[in-house]
Amino acid sequence: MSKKGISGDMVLQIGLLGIAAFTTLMSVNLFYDSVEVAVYGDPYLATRTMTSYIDFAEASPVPMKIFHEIPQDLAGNPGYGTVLYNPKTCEFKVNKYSQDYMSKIILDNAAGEITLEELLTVAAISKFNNKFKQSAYSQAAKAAGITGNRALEEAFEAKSAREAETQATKEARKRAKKRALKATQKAEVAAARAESRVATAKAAREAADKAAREAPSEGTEKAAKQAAKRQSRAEAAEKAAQKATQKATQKAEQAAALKAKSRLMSEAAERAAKRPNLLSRFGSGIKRSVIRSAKQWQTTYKILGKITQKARSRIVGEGGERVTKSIIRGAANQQAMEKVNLGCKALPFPGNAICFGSTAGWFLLIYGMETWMTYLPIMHFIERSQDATEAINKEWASASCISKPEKVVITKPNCGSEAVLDYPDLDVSGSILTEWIDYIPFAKTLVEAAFAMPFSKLTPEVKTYEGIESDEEVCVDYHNYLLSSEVQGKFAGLDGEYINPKNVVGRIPFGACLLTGLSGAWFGFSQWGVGCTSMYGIFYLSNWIDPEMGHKTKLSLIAISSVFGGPIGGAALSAAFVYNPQDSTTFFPYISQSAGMIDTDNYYYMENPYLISMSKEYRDGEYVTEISKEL
Amino acid sequence: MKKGMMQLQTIIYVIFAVLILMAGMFSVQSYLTNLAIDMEYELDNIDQGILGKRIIGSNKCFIELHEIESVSDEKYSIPDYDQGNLIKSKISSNIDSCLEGFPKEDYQIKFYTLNPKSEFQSWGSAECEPDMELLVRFNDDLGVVEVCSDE
Repeated sequence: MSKKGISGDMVLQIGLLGIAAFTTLMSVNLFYDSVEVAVYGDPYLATRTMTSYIDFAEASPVPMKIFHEIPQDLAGNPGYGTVLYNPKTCEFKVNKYSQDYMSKIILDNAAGEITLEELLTVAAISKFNNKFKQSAYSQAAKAAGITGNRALEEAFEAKSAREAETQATKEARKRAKKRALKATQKAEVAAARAESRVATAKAAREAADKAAREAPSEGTEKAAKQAAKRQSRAEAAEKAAQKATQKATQKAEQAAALKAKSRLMSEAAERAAKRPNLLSRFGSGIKRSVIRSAKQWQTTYKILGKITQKARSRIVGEGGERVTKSIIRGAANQQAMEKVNLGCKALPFPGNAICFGSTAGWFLLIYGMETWMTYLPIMHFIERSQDATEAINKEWASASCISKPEKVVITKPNCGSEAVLDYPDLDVSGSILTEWIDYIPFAKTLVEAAFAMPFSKLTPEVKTYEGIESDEEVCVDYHNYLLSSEVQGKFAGLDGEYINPKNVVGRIPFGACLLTGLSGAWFGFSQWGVGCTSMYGIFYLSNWIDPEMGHKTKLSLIAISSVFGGPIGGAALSAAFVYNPQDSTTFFPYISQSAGMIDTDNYYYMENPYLISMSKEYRDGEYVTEISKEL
Repeated sequence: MKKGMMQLQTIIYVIFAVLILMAGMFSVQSYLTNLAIDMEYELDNIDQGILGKRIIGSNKCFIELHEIESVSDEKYSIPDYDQGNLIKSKISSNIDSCLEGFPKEDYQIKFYTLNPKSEFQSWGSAECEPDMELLVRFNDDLGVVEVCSDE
C-alpha cells in the first residue's frame, strides 16, 4: 500500500466515523424530541387523571387508595417536576420543571452570556493571582520551615472547610435540639397530668369501695344504692384516667420519635449546609465528575477552578459591573460639562448658542455610549429573563375535580421558604491588582453586593394551607420564594397587573434622560442629561444590591436625583424608582416577570414526585381525602 | 492523478456528505418536532364513569351504607353496601347534591322502573341520546338509569 493511499483512507475513515457519530447523536435527539409527549405523557392528561382519581375516591362509599405513577424520561427524571394542588378548587397544576429549576433557568437565561474578552481578562487575573498566592505561600512556608507549596495550600483549604462545617453543624443542632426539647416538655406535662388523674381516680374508687362495703352493714337500702352509684362513677373515672395515661405515653413516644426525626433533620441540614448553595440541586453528578477529573489534573485544577469562579462572578454581576462603570464615567462627564456650561454662558450671542449646541452634541455622544454600554445590556438582561419566564409559563397544564372534598389531609407538608442573596467570594486577598479594595470602606461589600444573585432556600417551619390538614411535623418540599406571590408586592398602590418592567426600569427613565439632556442643553444645563444617566445607573444598582433599603436611603436617592438629573429626569427617575420594588430579592423576580408565577398561599407543592397516592380514608369518625407524595 | 489530488477529493467528498446529511437531518427534525399531533382522549368518558359510580355506588347519593359488626370477643365493624340497589326516596332528596359539579345543561339523567317501564325522576336539561344505561334495583324491582351528555 502506498503512503498516499493510506492517507486518503484515513481521511475517509475519520469522515465516516464522524458521520456515524453525528447521525447517532442526531437520531437520539430527534427520537427524544419527537416522542417527548409519549415519554413524559401529556401534562393535561396527567392532571385530568389525578382529578379523576380524587373523584372516584370521593364517590366510593368505602375507603380506597389509588396510586398514580409519574412517567419518567430516558434519564429517569420524573415527567413533571412541579405538581401543585389547590384544596379550595380541587385543582391540580403540573409543569415539566421543578420550581428551583424554573428559577435557575430564568437566572441563567438572563445572565448566561460571557464574552471572549471577559474570559480572557478573568483568565489573566486568575493566573496573576494564582502566581502571587503561590509566591506568598512559598514565603510563608519558608518562614514556617515547611517545604512544598501544595501541602500548605491544602492545609489552608482544609482549615476553612472545617470551619464552615462546624458552623453549619452548630446551627442545625441548635434548631433540632430546640424542637425536641419543646416536644419532650409537652409530653412530660401531659404525663404528669395523667398520673395525677389516675391517683385521684384511684382514691375515689377506694372511697367508693369502702362505702359499698359499709352500706349493707348499716342496713339502709338508700345508702347501698348511693354507694353503688359512687362505685360505678369511680370505675368510669379510673378508666378515663387510664386512657389519659395511655394517651400521654403515646405523646411521649411521639416526642421521642420527633427527637429522632429532629436528629435526622439536623443531619440533613448539616449535609445541605455543606453543599454549595446555588449549584447544590443541579448537576451535582456533573460537578462530581468534573471534580474527579480535576483531581487527576492537579496542576490545572486550581487555575480552572479560579477561572470558573471568576467567570461566574462575571456572569452574574454583568449588570452590576456595567452600571458601576457607567456611574464613574457619568460623574466625570458631569463635572466637565458643568464647567463647559459656565464658559458657554459667559460667551456673547451667537457664540453661546454654538457652544450650547456643541454641549448638546457632546451629550448625545455620551448618551449614545451609555445606551450601548449600559442601557442595552440591562434591557437585554430583562428581555432574556422574560423570554425564559414566558417559555416556562407555556409548560403549565391544569384541571379541576368535579367533586369538592370536604377535608383534605396531606402526609408530607411543605416547608417555608425565604429569599437570600448568594454573595460570590471575590477572594481579593493577596492580589496586588485588587488589594486596594480592602482599604476603601464598604468597597468590598459593595462590589460583592453588585455581583450577588438572589435565590430561594427552605426554612424548617411547616407551611400551612387553608383547607389542608396535616399532623406531621417534618416538612419536605418548599416553594421557590422568588416565584411566589409574596415577592410580587404592591407597586405604587397598584395590585395585580403592572406595567412591563422593560418600560418602568428601562425605556421611560432612560428616555427621560434624553429629554433632560436636550432640554437642559437648550437652557444651559446640559450637565443634567449626564447626571440623569448616572443617576439611572445608581438607581438600578441600588435596586439590585440592597437587600433591604431603608426609608432614609430612598429619600436621599430621590433628593440626589433631583439635583443631578434636573427637574424632568429627576422626577421621571424618582417616579420609576418608587414604582419598582426596591430590594435585591424582589427586583429580579419583578424584572423577569416571574414573581407570582406560583400562588404559594393556595397551592400545596410536590417536587419531582415519582409516585402520588390519592385516597379516601376513615379517620376519627369521618371520611377524609388524603394526598400523599409516596416517592 | 496529480500527487495529493486523491486526498483533496476525499476531503471534499466527506465535507459535502456531512453537510448534506446535516441539512437532511435538521429538515426531518424540524418537520417532525413541529407536527401537531391530534390526540382525542375522549375525556368526557371519564366524567361519565364518575357519574355512573355516584349513581350506583356512593353513600352520598342513593345507596344505603351498613356496618357489619363482629360477633367475636374482639369488637370491630366493617362498612358494607349493596352496589346498584338504590333507595327511591333518596333519589328525589339527594339528586342535586349527588350530581354536584356536573353542569345541568350538559346532562340528562332519567330514572325508570321496569315492568312496566315508567320514568319517575329526571335531572338535567340536555337534549341528547343516551350514552350510558345502568341497570339498577329498587329493592326487589329492576330499574334503569339513562345517562346522556352533550359535551
